[in-house]
Amino acid sequence: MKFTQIHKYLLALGTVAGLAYGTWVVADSNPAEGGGDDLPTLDSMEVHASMQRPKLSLPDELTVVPVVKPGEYFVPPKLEDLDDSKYSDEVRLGRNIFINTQEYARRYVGNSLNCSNCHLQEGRKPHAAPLWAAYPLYPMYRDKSRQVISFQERLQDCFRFSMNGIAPTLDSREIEALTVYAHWLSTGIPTGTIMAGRGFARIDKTEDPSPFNGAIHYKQYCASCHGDDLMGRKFTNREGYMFPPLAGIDSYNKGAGMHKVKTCAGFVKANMPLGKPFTLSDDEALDICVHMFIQDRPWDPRKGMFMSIFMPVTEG
Amino acid sequence: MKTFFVLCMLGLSNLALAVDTALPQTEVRVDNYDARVSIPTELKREKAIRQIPAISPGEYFVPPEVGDIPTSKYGEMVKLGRNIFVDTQHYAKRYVGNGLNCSNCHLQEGRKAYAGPLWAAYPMYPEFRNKTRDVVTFEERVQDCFRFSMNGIAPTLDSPEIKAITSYAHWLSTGAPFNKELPGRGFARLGKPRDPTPINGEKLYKESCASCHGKEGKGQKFTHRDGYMFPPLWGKDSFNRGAGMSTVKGCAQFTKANMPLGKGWTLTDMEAWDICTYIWLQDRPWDPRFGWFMNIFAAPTGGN
Repeated sequence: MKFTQIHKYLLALGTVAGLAYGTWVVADSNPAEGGGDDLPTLDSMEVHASMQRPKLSLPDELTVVPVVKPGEYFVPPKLEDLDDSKYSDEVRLGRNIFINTQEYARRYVGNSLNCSNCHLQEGRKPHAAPLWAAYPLYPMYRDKSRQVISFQERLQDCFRFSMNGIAPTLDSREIEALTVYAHWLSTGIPTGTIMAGRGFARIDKTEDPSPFNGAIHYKQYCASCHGDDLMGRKFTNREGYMFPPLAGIDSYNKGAGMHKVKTCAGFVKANMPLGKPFTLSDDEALDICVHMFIQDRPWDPRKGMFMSIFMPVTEG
Repeated sequence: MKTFFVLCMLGLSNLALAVDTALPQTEVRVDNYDARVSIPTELKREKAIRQIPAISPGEYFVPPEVGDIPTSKYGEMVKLGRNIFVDTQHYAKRYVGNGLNCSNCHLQEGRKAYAGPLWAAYPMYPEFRNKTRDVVTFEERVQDCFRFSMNGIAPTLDSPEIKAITSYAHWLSTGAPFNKELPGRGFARLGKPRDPTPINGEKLYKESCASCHGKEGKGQKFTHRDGYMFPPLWGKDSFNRGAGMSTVKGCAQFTKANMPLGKGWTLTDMEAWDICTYIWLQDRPWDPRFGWFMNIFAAPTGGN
């Protein structure tokens, strides 16, 4: 008897609280919408097919996958699952280009890097710019080129800046194979989804980074693999670097994303020292990257000799 | 005896089920993903019943609405792509050689299932294509549309037209998984009970198509802008002999699922084959892959 009464009270209380919360939410959300002024103006064409079809509620939360726990990232398909179709052949070629760019895309590459020197684990590792997180988002607006570019054009920029080479044409075998490889890696990802593990880690700067601290941190954490002179270490059995050079003629040029201190710090924090990711603090990563930033490396191909020699570099 | 027979049948069906489940996961089985809610039993024509898919909402992928195009550079590109798609005669005029728009075949702005919807095509590319005997990207596929279906000149891969259409397709397939065949992809799948006859096709064409497309197949133009409301099915304003729609099979698959407009899936497979054989026999622009000799003296492709 008493229990049922408590039950009723709780129910009434819950209803009242729910209604109050609901009104609060509604009242809160109304001014935020701003009266729909942001909607794009429709063209006055007579076909409005989208109005004819009932709309399902698109899950908005699909566009951002917020999981950050280790092991909860997207898992791309395995190499063994490939069959012997033409598509799979292209995938294999794309993977070959990706992990051994020095042999399979030799004529487009100006330094001694492979794609997988930065895109670790054959482009699969989250927070090391995995291909499966990049491909579903393109075509996308890009600040660097100031227009909407397709994935193929993004690859061209990789060749031009990070590989310090010549961009293959959009219909070249290399670009196509790399695109197929990225497409295969992102099998099952919804188009346009921002995946967890996309790009690099986020960096919060608390103080101005100093190259002097950076040199000390570099000697402590990085020099054992990349060498005291930042020149890296080559493979013994094939061309290319096991530990990529961080400066000098065999490294990326000054137009590359890795040349920006912030991008570099995001990579370093999430992936370096190899096998011990997320052990450096944000400021340590920034310090190291400033140390790398002030080294010599190939010029920015977008600028001429005068600008490259006499202008202070601005990306720092 | 009867019980024994029933038991036997049960065992057989179990066996069949076991065999079914043993199929590889990647194999495409149309029957499994064509969800059907209610089968209209009053349609008693041959084969018509088997392939009527459900049209209730949620059965197919629903692309985002036009009003939801974001206000960004990307959104501008999407809007340009939509404009090109719906009014190709104006926005991509220099690449088009006939009077068609993209949306003449890709109905409802490329949204309608079984009418070559963009949201089902984009996530599947790059893909191996028999026609080009190569793995092609989505951009190259769009180039082929311009070359054959629009009887025009392919825009370069970095042209704003190709990029805008690609952006539009990318936006339409927001949320569609990569590399997975979605239900409603491409056109209908047909059976062919007998060889099609153009004689029967002509009769059927006059009966059910000529009211919109005209007895001469010339279609009907818009009154207030370029392009056709009902596209021409042959003649110089139509697609050329290299187009997918110029093969009898591609045409029949489209016709079955979408024609007569608003009454898709009402023709039988055989009727669609017949009509398309009749259309295939008519004059249309030449195949740009061949020279004049082959175009005049060789049999046109896509006959069976």
